Amino acid sequence: MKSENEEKKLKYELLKLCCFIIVSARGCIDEPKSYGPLRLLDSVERLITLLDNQGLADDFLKEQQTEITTGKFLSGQDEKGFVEFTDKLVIDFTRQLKRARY
Amino acid sequence: MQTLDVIKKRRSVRSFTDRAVEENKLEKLVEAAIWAPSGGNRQPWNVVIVQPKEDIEQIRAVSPGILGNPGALIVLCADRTKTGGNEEEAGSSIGLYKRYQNVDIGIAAQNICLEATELGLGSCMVGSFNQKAVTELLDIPDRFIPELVVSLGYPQNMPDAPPRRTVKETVIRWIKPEGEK
Repeated sequence: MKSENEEKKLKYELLKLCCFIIVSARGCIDEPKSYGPLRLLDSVERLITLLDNQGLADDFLKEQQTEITTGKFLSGQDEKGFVEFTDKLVIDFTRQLKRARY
Repeated sequence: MQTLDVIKKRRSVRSFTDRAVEENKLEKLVEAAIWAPSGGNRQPWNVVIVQPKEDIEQIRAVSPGILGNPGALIVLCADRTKTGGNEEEAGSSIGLYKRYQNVDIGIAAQNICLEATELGLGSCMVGSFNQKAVTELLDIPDRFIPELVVSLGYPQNMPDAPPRRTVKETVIRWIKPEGEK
């Protein structure tokens, strides 16, 4: 059971994440195409941080967050490497999705 | 450091330690900005400086281009009254100053980043933020429009320099004095 203050904090953190995603959506209209994937990965990274602060991020998510924190910088620097990185994320998350089914 | 050394040492830093940026260093950065050249010497820049962690977090929420956890932000704003603000002025000298406005802001931002390098700080120029949202969050008066954010802090790590083209590859034509090759 969360205290009133904890609930307020969680709602505030969720609101910040929503702001980030909405502003990213607006920005992607004008910004270079390559920024889109970066914004989505940033959103996932922020979501995992939020879950982790709530004690809801498992080892898999924490590991992936570390991967994303470094791998996202391939965007704009190494296009081929970034594609390989995002392909690997897709497979890793999909496999985890299969495993997590209940 | 020699000027060219500082220029070459500067990196776009997107990962910072928790160490706070000292107020006297922030003042020096603003001083560096105000010594930038500007079209017609209009000096169209004003700044908002943000230090508290939660205020930075709010700005980050509407600024996808700010990566990492900077210890301070300098938001460079253009003063509309110094550069013109409507289409009728296009083509007039005021229209021209409007055209130069973002060039001037960019030069001021570069001065900030170079001084930051000299002071041991990491910096990153950020254009990817929502101007309306930042204006709202920081209660920036209508007269000013935020054009560029410089994120600052002590670097967690310095990224490698991306490859640069050579001088030869950069020069389209070099018209030399007669007789020189």
